[in-house]
Amino acid sequence: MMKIFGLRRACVLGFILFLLILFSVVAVPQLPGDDAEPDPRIGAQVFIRSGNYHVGNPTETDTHSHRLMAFRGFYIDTHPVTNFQYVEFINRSRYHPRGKFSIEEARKHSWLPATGLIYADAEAFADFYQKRLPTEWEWEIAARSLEKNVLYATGSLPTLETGNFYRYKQKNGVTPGFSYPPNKLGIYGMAGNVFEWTSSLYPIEKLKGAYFQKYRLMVLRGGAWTNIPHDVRVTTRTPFPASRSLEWLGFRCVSDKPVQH
Amino acid sequence: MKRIIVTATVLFIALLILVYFIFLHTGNQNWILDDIQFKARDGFVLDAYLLRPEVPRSKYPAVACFHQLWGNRDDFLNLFPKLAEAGIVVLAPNFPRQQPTYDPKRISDLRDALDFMESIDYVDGQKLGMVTASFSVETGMTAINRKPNVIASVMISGQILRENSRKRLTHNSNLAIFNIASVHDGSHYMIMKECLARSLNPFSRSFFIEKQEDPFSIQAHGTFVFDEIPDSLGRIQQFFMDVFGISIKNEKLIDKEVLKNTVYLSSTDGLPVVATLKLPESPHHPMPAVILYPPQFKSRVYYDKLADRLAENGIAVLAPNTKRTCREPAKLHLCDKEIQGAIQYILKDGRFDPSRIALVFPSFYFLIARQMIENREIPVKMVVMMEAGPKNYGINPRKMDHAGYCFHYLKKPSLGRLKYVLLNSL
Repeated sequence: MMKIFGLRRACVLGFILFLLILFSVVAVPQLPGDDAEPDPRIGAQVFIRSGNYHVGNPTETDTHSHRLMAFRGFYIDTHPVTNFQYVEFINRSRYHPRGKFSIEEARKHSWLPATGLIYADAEAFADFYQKRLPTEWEWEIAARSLEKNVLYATGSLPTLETGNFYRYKQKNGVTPGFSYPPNKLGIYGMAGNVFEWTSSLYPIEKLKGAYFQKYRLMVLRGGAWTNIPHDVRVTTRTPFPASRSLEWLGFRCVSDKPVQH
Repeated sequence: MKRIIVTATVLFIALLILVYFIFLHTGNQNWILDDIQFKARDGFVLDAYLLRPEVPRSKYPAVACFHQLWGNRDDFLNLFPKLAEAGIVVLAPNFPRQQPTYDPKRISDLRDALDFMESIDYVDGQKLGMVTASFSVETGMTAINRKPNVIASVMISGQILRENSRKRLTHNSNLAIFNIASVHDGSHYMIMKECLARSLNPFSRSFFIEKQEDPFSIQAHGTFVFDEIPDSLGRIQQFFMDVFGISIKNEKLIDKEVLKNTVYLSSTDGLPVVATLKLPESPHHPMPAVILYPPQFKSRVYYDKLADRLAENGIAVLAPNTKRTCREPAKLHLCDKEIQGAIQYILKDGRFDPSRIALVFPSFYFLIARQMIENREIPVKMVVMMEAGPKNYGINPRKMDHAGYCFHYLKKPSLGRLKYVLLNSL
């Protein structure tokens, strides 16, 4: 009799223990980005030394031909800011993005680049971590690996294996920052995937019409998955209003000192 | 007394002027749909519809309609009454050289059309617009490169655009765009979203069909939206009225004499197809008939002269346009419905002899023709397959199983030879 009672009690205790374990597994609150292991490459920066570097391209219509430009040394992120990083920034700073950025969607896709942010949202992120957005020329020399005769970040004309562009049959083609090979400096996502905000203004003399004065037009760089290969050049400049956001427009930061976050 | 007479005269003249202006702006004047031809810069002749007022009384805004690949000027027939209502002149040419190649004529033809439209003396050169669909969204944006007076563009399901085309939306901030796209368009739909985000004109707008269950049943894009969602026509009219600053619209009587040989066929799934029906002047019932499909990039106009000659010899001609393209195996079931619709149209009409009906397929139709012939789905006796156009899918019609049909294969695109074969066999 005792034996049977003991067995029964053991069964009940075991069942309760099983329920407790199950509950503990299920009830742990999901942190942003728990759907994948964090990549060790997240948050890495590359240092670019002070010096004179080539910018421009003789065949581009709205930029000058090759010329040397002087730069102070800076650290540039090796990948566009991810949803995981941006959600963490929102949690810490209580900032409310003004673009179409959705925190719920961002939590589902932690390792995709943070998109749907207006210029001020990108600037707020950079300020919080004592970083800044790159000027378009800083972006360009990093993309062309500090070399002169480079048209594409991938070296030669990128293929569909080396860059995320010309996905004309897809409904949305944004991919995680490390999906395609980096350039010679080890910087990812400089050819296609998402456009990136820069802190440079688009030259006003190129603009005509009655309405452009109402907008602050920033330069976007890098091309997106919707572009044809020709447009994913390191020198292609895209004018875009600072007050608008887009589902394939992200950003990366630069800083004068190394920053870890 | 003298003063009263002078005052009365002045008042009378003022009244006359007022009545004249009211008549000018609100009168229900007649409009005409003309079939015109104009020359491109290299002398190539382009056929076009010109929708214009019968008696021009002032300067009118004008819109050029650029069709999509495998499309033609007939795609815009439904849009004409709406634009005439708003008092807008319309030019809708056929662009047989608008092909996915790097041939510069694919763009220069559009530029020539815009130049021709601008040169019409009753067109207001500062109020020009265009309606572009699919492939012509890119070529149209390139064509207005140096034309800042084109201030309104309707872009229906635009393809992937070059960066220079997208930049134009910012570089000319006067350019207002109206984007129409559905989720079924894939990335085309996303690109239309981006173009809207780049446009700086406050009149820019969009009509995105975003729900999967919305009535885009054929899941095709471009000007099909006019058939699928007729509401889009009214929206386009409103867009042009807003951008051109037009506040009054009146229903106009349109003289459509040029469409006297035009009929609307219904595919077996209900989608209308525009076709030429040419009957002999003194027909003997029941008469033989031939259904002529156009080669790739051509429209029903291709067979106009042949139709006249066949009609002189007592043969009726039905020449439908290409509506849904037959180039992919995945779309063959749609193309099939159009061909069956055309055959049913002839068979149901008592004037034609069911035993003397021929069907002509140029090489663009070889893929669907092979499927229909080998499955015995064509209920007519005679089939002609003719090599015409750049694409034949590697199909050799001689090796097909065409037992049971009176079958002819023409190796060269010769309308004279085709006429000879048809006259002899029918």
